[in-house]
Amino acid sequence: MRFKILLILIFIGLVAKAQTHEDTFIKDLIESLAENLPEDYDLSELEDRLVFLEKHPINLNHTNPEELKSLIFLSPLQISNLFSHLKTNGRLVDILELQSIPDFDVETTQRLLPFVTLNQSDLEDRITYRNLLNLGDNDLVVRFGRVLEKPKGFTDLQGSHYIGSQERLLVRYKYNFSNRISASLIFEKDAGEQFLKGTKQFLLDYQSAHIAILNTGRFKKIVLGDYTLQFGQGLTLWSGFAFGKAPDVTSVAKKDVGLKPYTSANEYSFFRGLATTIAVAQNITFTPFLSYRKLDASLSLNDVGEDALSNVNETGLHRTATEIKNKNSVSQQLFGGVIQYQKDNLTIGAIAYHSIYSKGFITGNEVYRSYNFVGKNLTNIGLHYNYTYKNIYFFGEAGKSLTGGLAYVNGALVSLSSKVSAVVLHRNYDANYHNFFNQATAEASEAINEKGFYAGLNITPIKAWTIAIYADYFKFPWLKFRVDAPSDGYEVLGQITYTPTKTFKAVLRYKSEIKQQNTDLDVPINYLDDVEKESYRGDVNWQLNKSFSFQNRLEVSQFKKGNTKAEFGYLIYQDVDYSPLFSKISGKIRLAYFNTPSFNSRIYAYEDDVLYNFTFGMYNGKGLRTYLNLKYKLIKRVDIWAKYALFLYNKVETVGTGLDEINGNKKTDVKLQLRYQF
Amino acid sequence: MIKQFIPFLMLTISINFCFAQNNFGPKLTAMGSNTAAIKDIWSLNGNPSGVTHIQSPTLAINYTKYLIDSELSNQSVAFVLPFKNNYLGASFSRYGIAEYNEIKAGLALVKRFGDKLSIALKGNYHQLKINNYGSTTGFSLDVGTMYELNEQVTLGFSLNNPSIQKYSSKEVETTIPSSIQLGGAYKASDKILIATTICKDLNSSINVGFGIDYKLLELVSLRAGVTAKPFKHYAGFGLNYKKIVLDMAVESDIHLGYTPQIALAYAF
Repeated sequence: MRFKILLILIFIGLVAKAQTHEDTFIKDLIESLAENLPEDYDLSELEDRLVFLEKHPINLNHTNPEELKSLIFLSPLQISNLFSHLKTNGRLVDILELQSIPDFDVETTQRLLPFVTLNQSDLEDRITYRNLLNLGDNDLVVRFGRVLEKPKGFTDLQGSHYIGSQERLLVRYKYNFSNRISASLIFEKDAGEQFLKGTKQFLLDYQSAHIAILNTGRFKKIVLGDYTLQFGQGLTLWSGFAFGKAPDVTSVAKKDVGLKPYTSANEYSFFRGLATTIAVAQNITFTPFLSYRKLDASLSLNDVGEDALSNVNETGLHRTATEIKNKNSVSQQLFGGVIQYQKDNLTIGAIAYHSIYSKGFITGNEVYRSYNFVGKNLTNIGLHYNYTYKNIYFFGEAGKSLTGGLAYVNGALVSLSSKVSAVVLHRNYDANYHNFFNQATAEASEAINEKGFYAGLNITPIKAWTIAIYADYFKFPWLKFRVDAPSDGYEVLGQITYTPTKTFKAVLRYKSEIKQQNTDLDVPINYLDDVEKESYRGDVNWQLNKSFSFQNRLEVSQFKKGNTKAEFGYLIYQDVDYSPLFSKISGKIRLAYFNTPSFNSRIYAYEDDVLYNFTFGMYNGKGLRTYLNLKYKLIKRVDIWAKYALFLYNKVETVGTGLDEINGNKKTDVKLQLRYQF
Repeated sequence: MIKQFIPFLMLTISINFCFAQNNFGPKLTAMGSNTAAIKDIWSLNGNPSGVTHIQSPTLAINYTKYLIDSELSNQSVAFVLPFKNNYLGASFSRYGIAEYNEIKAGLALVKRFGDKLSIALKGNYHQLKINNYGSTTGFSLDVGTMYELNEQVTLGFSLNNPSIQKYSSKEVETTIPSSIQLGGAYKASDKILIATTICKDLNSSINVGFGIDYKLLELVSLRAGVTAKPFKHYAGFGLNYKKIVLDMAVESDIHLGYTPQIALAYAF
């Protein structure tokens, strides 16, 4: 009996550990992306996948590359090696066999454990009414949040102001039956948006739903409702979240998961309609899709007096009269298909789709936009591949917008030895490459008008140490926003991680970036000044005992433009995490002090949040930041989260800008979330 | 005009950077001008204590072409003579165009203390010659050391012209660069060598070089590297057949374009 308890304890310990490893991994990735993501970006799809897989582990003896790619910490080379191991040695008998596969180190195997199984049963769970009712998982999340202070936009302003209330609300219901059926229903209201029955809305401002049937004969996936499509390297067709350059240097090789139901609250990056993936032959799948949805855009008149738009607004915020007027002002129809061939170490895919907009695009007056898309119809085609040869994983994609330009990206991931792996990536994106679903790896937020070469190394000299380093050189052949000439630049990152024990981890990171931008001086013709950004980070994670763990960080940022004097900002924080094994309550506290002379030297840091919600804080100005995030297990199937977060600025009279300006020096945000699983 | 511009460019841009006109040979160059802790015959021009792997008299020649100008090039010769724990090295290089050239000739004495430590001392003679303006000379001293911590890790340190010697003529502003290098090389496996060098030149900011050498086959090595300040990419390969070594490298700079070089070494 005692032995059993001990065994259970060890097991729980392992899972809990794996989970925290996971968290820091995702955290690292997110922090590195923070700069290019809009504020309040919903990253739930990342955690969603992992939470789901923890409940429904992947059967390693009966899986496919697509399924394994959703485990974001596996590199494409590892996935490929696993399949060649399965092919030569047959089924895995023991999970520890994984460690004998090339590139699978102890850490990877440990990370993998909670999400995989070797269960030999290949039987599909049958869809019957009784199974759906008894064996299905229901997950209901209700989240409420608001800023306690009253921003200017909510006061009685004469002009533009927020029409709705200050509260934020999210209701999300998800249903899953094994790997056969999934469904979701999401409602969301942002701060300032109207609650029920506002202008141009049905219930809340945003709703999303889907029903998906999976693994039925030749039909691998059928999704009705909202879905995402992710193929190849993201150059031709990729909606939703995509990784790019990150301290895990292998993350530039994108892991496409194909068709997926959409269950996130981001109001832009999805398709709405019908899509399916069919196995048309033994190694060939075909994914046809249809989508029709409305987009937000500010309309103006074109040369012939018709309504036209110059760009689509992606924020999904409908708070003021103007934002509501722009809501759903353009419709987008999309149809097309993806055909993929996958056998052994080779995947080849071809994509073609056509999109029709109800209003035409115009370029506007700015010169830098002169290669942008014009018109109402756009056809995109693309080809992608990946191929594993011995210890090298080759990948790439080429995309073309008919009547527009060409873009291509090629790379290789090489496992030079068990201790060293290298990545190289070359890219060339034309300025007139028109694509609304382009998320390929790039320095700029959009993968157009860029040429670049990226090289990275991951080194594990001895067990406790990891070194990651990458260098990226990029060139923008055409003008950009606030850059009135062709420009170029580079980015270098070096990171050393020291993990001597399971309860201690230290990270040192240096990042440097040089780009060019119009001078700030008042001159008749703008010339370009070098903009240098550097950041230094030290970070320590340590566990005191089974209940308490701590994190400390110091980050210094430096910004220098042209001949002006460099400015320095810094952030220092202390996190305390309390999560005892069998306690009903767990929580995290942060206390941070930051001081940055201006927005230019701002610092981003990951913040712990309620489940399914990853956030990163932007630390700008001078002051204190603190938050408390609590989780309480109310009863067996009900969990409650609460977060209280405060910015306390030093010597300022207002916080925020525009309609978000708050009188005083405080900004307090509260969040309450309830999850009911049944 | 161009003829005057090129020397100007060479003086203003390249000379301020760590050893811009020094020739480290294709191996060290391809690994990101990584001079501190890698062993190669061309270490003579960087950290001279890196020649102690040489077992028989070895002669190497090098040719570097700066593609920014049709004439600009660097030609170098290096020779190492080992006897017991001592090594005698000689190097000569010429950099420039017909109208402008720099010559550097050096003699190095390297001593190995046991299997792990080596120390080197090198004296250099410099000559700068500009057509119709005459020439000037100078003398400088380099010191360097390498220490093999264990089978995987080697550490290196070197000082070039620490006493800040100048050309004898007061008329030239060109200096003999003074710099300090500190670095390590890590042998990750029999096939992989990774190395880094931190370099501080008296007149410019700290530069970090990082590079990798991958022995694809017994005969062929592939190399790549970067430096941070100035930001440059490097790539190269080496062929190793019996007593002959052929190395090639290309340096890519945002402003100066590509600089290829090739070297041939023969061990007697």
